[in-house]
Amino acid sequence: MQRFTDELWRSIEPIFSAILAHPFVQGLTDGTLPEETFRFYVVQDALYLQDYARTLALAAAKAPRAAWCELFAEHAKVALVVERALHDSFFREWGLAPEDVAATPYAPANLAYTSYLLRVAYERPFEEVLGAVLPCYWIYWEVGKHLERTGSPNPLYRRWIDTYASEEYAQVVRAVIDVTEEATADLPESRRALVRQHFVTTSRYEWLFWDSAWRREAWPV
Amino acid sequence: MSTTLLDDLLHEARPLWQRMTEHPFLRDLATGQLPRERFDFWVQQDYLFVQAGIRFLALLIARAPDEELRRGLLDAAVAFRHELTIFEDYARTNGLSLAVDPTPVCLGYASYLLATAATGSLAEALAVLWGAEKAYYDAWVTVRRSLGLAEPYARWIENWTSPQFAAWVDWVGRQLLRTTTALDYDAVRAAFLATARYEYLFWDMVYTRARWPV
Repeated sequence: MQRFTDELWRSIEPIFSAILAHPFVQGLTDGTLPEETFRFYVVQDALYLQDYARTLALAAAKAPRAAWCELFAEHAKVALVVERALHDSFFREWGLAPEDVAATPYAPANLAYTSYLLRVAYERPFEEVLGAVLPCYWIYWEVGKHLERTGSPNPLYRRWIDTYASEEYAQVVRAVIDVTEEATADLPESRRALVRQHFVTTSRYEWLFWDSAWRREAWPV
Repeated sequence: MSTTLLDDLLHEARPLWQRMTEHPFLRDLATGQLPRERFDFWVQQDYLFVQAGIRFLALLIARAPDEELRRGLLDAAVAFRHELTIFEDYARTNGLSLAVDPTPVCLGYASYLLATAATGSLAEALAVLWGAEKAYYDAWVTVRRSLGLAEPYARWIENWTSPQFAAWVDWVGRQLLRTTTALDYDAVRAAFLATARYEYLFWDMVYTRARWPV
């Protein structure tokens, strides 16, 4: 029988192709991405990860099994650790203090994406929260694997790519895919449709997040 | 907290506020130049937004620390439900479907409201509520000044410029004042500005940000 998570992935294939084809992602591997654009991205990503950690903590609170609660509580911590690692490995090099990062306003796409995650995590049942958080895990893994094959002439970008192409990261993502598979196994189609809807929406937000960085998006007013 | 907090917020947001209340959408609407399909598009999206607003109020009611706040918000939830009937009646009369997907701006703004009600401080959430309602009051008062209660907009104009609505906006402002402590100030300011930006974007999306790019 077909896995539900495979079906989820197939539903976003056009979005994933658009992400791989995006000039930001292309620029990471051919080295043409301006470093200032990359810096914009990493700062926004650090802000994003703080809210992603909150979202995962809410997922942990809603988890119907202790093992899943522990998994997401741990991942909430990991998101914050990764956020701090970004500070150590990139921000120090750029002379950015944690206060500078914290004082940076959320770009429009980032505020919309993180608000959507928090709202779904607060309002909706566990399996729908999984649908909303899964694209961030999964798309980064797939993008990481894809970029690892092509590499990058810029050592800074290579360091970033290596994080998400690592076997360690792969295990994290596989665990969440497995939880999603189990948590949705007995659901009627009507409830699976809602999981799918969140999965597609946050996948779109993933594309918007890259695009926002590429344009160094600011508020129009 | 000083009683000038509300003035400070409006002062800081002034350029943004002006661009919002003078947005081409409102200008065209006020001069009778707005094409009907643009208005219908706004009706469909704002209907979704008011629905999210009821959920937002429900979250705040659950968090309200006293009877005064709880009662006022409960009355508002009923008033929001009444607002929805204006949209529903218009849609029925004009054969307009209200079963549409939210645009990126509509979903972003609605999610921002709900995320703030869920994980922000009560003061932050009230800053969002006051910002959104004050923006509506100011925008529609501007429309009323040049258009009066002209159709097909009369019920919306009446609703958002009525003395009752003005009193509600003032009431929310007072709740914001008595809830905000010195510790909340930065977050309140940021929430108010984000709300004002989203209000601008909401009018603007009718022209420019209607579709999901992927």
